[in-house]
Amino acid sequence: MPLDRPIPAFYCCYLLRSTVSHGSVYVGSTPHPVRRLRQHNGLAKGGASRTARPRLRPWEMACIITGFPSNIAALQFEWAWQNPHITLHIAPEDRIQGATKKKRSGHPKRPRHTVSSLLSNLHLLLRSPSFSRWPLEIRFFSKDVHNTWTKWIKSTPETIRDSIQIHQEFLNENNNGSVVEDVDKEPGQEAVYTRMSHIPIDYTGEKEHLFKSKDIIDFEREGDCAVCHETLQSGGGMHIICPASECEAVSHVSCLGKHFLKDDDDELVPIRGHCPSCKTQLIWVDLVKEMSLRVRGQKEVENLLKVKRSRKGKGKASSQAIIADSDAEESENELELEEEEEEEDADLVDIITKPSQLPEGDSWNVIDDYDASDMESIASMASNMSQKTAAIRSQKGGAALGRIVEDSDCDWDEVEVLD
Amino acid sequence: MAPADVFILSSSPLQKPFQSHAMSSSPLPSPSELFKQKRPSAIPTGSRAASIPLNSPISFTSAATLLNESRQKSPPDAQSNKPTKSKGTKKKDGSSELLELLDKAKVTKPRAKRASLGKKKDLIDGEPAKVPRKTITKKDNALLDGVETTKPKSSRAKKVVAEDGEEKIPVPRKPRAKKATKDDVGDERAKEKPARKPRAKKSEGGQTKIVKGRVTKKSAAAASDKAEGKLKSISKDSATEKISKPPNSPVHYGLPKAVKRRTDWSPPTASITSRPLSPTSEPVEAEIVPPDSRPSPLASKGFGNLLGDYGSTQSSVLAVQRKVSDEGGTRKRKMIELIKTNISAASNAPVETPPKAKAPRKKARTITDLATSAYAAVESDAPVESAPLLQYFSPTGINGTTKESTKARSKTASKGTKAKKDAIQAPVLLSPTSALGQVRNQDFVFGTSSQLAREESPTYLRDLQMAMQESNQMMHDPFHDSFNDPFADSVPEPSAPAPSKVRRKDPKGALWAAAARDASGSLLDVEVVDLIDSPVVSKTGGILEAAAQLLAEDEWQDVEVVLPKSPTKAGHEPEASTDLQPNSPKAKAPTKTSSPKRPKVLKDKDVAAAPTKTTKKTAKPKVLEMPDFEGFTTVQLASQLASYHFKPVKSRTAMISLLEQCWEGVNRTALQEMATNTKPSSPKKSSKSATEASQSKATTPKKAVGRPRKDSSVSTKASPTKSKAKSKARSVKENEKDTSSDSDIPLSTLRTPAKIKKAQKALLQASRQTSPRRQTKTPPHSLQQLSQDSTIGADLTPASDQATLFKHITLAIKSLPPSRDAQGDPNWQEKILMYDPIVIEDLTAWLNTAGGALEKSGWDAEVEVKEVKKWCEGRGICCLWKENLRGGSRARY
Repeated sequence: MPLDRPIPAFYCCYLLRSTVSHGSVYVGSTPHPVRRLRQHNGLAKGGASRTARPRLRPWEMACIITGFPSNIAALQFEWAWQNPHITLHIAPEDRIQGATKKKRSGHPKRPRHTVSSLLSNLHLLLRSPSFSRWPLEIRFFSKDVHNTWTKWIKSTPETIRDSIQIHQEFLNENNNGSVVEDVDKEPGQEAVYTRMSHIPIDYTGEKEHLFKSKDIIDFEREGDCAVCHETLQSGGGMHIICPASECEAVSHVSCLGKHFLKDDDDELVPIRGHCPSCKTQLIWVDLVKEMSLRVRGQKEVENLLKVKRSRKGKGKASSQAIIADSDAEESENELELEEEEEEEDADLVDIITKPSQLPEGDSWNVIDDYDASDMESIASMASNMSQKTAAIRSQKGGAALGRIVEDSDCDWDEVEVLD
Repeated sequence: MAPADVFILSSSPLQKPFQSHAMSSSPLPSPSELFKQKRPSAIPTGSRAASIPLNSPISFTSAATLLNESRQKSPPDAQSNKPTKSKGTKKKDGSSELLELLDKAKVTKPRAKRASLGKKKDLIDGEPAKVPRKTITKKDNALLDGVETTKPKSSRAKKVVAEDGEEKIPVPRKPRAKKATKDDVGDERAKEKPARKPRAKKSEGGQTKIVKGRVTKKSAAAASDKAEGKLKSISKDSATEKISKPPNSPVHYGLPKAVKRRTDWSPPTASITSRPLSPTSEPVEAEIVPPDSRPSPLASKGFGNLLGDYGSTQSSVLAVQRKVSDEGGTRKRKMIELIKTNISAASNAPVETPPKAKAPRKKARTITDLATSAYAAVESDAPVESAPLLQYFSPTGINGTTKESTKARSKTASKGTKAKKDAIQAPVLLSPTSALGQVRNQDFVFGTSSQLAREESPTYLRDLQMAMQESNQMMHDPFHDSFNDPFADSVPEPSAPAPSKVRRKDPKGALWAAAARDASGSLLDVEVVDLIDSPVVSKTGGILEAAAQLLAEDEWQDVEVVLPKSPTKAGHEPEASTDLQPNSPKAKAPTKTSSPKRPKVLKDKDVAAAPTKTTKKTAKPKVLEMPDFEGFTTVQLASQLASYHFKPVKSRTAMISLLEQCWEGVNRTALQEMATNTKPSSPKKSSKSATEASQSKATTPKKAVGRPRKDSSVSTKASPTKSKAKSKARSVKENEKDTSSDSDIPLSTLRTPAKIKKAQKALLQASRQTSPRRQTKTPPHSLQQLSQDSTIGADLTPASDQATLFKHITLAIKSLPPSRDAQGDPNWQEKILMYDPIVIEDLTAWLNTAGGALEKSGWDAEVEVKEVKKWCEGRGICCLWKENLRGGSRARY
């Protein structure tokens, strides 16, 4: 069966960590991290049962790995990350974590995960030939997790490919160190949510590019392949159009791929390269994503373009709809994980946790601007909130997040204003 | 004629055609045939004249009788008085009935004609007439269902043969007769009303004609020489007359009698009586009867009656046979009986049943009845037989455990047995002492009677018990002196409930676990005692016979009889009783039961075959058990080796392994079966393999240790080979998948080495896997190993080779020209460039076949899926299998 879907706008694997018990971790994948996190935290239906224990809530996404070019890729990576003890993507000599025990079935039992073990394995996986060339990025939402990561990087001689970017999405204010820990934590979470909500999970990033290429194709201005100079068949084919605004270079995928790879005979998939005509540096996945949208994602393109004309909000909604169906797989996948880790929960002792100021049931707030239901939940949460000290600023202009102040009444007002 | 026609019309025409259809389709030949055939016969009949008075009344009566019959058969229809209307209603109500009627009519007609024809034949020339008829019948048969037609004919034919040659003729005639009648009808109708629907007419005509036929029959029977021509002419007239006059006619011609008979209708007796009379004295009755009787056989041909015939044929045959014995007007009687039998079968059954029910009542006793009957003072009859409950068991009883029970129990038991004995042996009253003594010798089996009755052989339980104790002893003997006393174990603790033993469960379950091990904790080498399939037991007859013999021989004897032979016995422990064993066959039973646990039993050759064999078997494994060479001193080992004529070996382990092999070789025959079993699980590592193999072989026979399993021997024999074959097949299949499956679990590498290291334990585990269920688990083990090997093999292919291969693959893909059509399939390169998940199988197929992509790139051989997968992973290409682990294929990507 041919693949009939474009490269997903967004798919990520995430490392979930209990804010209460930092030893409790979970690895999952989702095309919609915010929604997924709300599920894990019980704010929306469908969380993994593994994360359903109230004691461990709220959960935070300590870090996410984004940029998977297909849901299958994401799921494969997720599985490998969950099962570093048996995955074949890790060469046996490199394996950090082997199976020490066996399950009753005789299968090797998954060793218990910790943040550090997961990060080291993540590092390992990102170095492995299977994943090293994937267009992935890492985003850290938790400072101490990032610290662990950096520690690990320092301790290991190998480095991951520089194409894999590492973003720190946690608030810089907390980096200053002057802030008290508990304060650090709570607002940090808020920040994570906020920032996560601003990670584009739809095709909006491709809009301009799409528009341009649509223009070119509609008017049949493809011309010749920029690489092989063969006349391109008009009407939309496997052609890549340079996203640079002034550049109208169009080329065969394969030609451009070869061009990007240049001398590397052994590799097949380029990572990035320079446009043959305008010399702009281009990321391969961006080019291909746009092309796959054109070739396979009629619906998505329509939605995207429609949105552009009418209103901004709908673009996101539509993208959510597109993403929605992939969630089924996601939850399915997570079930496996849950069985295993259930028992571990009991053992987990929160060593690292700082004195938690959170009353039970009082958790972080969801702040996003996606839909009304979210807002409601936020509102209800807000009323419960006892401590809100840090001001949270929205990162991007779209949603103006006011400050959330301790006073619940104020929160109400704030929230209302948000819309 | 005219009235008849009108009548036909009046009777619901719509239904008639339908019915007629059914008729025409199955039994009747095509109208054309009928016309052709019948005309010749009709012509002669027509030519002959008079005898009208005789026929006409007959025909009337016949019509009435038909109606009556139909009424009887269908009570709802019976209410309608007038024949015409009733017919109509009947037709409306039950088409089947109409069909029957029609059939009957037709049948009767043919008979009449036959009779007449037969007579004619006799008179004129039988053969020519017969010949055409026969042919006709054949045609008819061909038209009809072969089976149905043949059956009735054959039966009748037989009967006929038994009786007279003349009767033979009628059998084939029947179908012919029908045709003839139909033909006649058809002729008449054709003459009369051409426009009408032929089928409907036929049916009605058939009925009317039936009357005629009867008339003719009567005439034939009564007056032998009457011409058929008369019949026909008369019949035509009568047909018309019948319709108009039906009510009047019956009165005159003895119809009332017939009606009465019909209504009362106690078939068997009446028919029998009527038969002899019918031909001579009461022509009407006889005739009336035949139409009824006939229909059933003929009805079989009728479409509507197909089902009914199946039921009726047998009874009809019987009836016919009876008639044959009676002699006389054969046809008529037959017919009569046929119908009667059908009815009678139903009616008679209820009458007969009540007496039967009564009889079983007396016999059928509840279990409690049986059990308590011995105590019922009233039953003086009982003593002849042994107490009913005791009949279920051989006097030998099952186990002697209860004997040694505490006094309290023996007392209570003695009471019961006393009473029983009294009941059984009324004449002899035992003295208390002798009674007690007898009680001692008596085996008591406790359990629900269903439990007890379940065991076919009374010796079974005992054998089982013995076997169990044997095994217990075996394990206990070496360790504890206290256990050396065979009775130590066997003597139940006073508190131990006997039933548990009966239930074959050792109260100390732990003992069974322990029994499977020897001093060193390794499994004992004990053969399966298969009580079911062992040669002795397999002839269950043998055991049963033995038991039966015992039963027969072992009537209750007063203790006095036995005592003299074994003076010690009466008051003493079972030990003493062993002396009795050889004494007399009669003594067998008690001794057996009393000393089941004894080793001595083994020596007793008089004992029934089963117990000895089983015990021997259980004992045997001891001999076969491989000595624990590990426990030997080095010197001992050396000497052992020397005994095998081996040169001294330096390393101790080598000596041990060698000795084990030697021992195994010596005892091979005994272990042979098991050898096959161990193969799949035999570890592959060279160093340990020898020892392990030998060990495993040695250990495997233990499988059934502990609990003698009914099916164990069978299963162990059969299943290993199967599973082995399966595993092999599967392993070959799964090799590739296993190693390269996209789940990327190197289970093989992880699992197997560990297991191998724990050779001893693993082997023990494996050897424990007696049940087929567990054995199925072993294949994966071997699978893993195999797959491991294969992976190794794959890895062993020179790395350089693989590298070049990969280069070729890369080249092959890279050299693809850009795909031309946009929306269609991107080529492999484009797919890869677009980060599409690559289906490994597809890519491999393409590489190997499609356009010879690999060949073009300069690679001469085919690629394996595994390699393609490796190639993909090495280049960061997301790849997946077409088939997921569950065997399905991906619905979407």
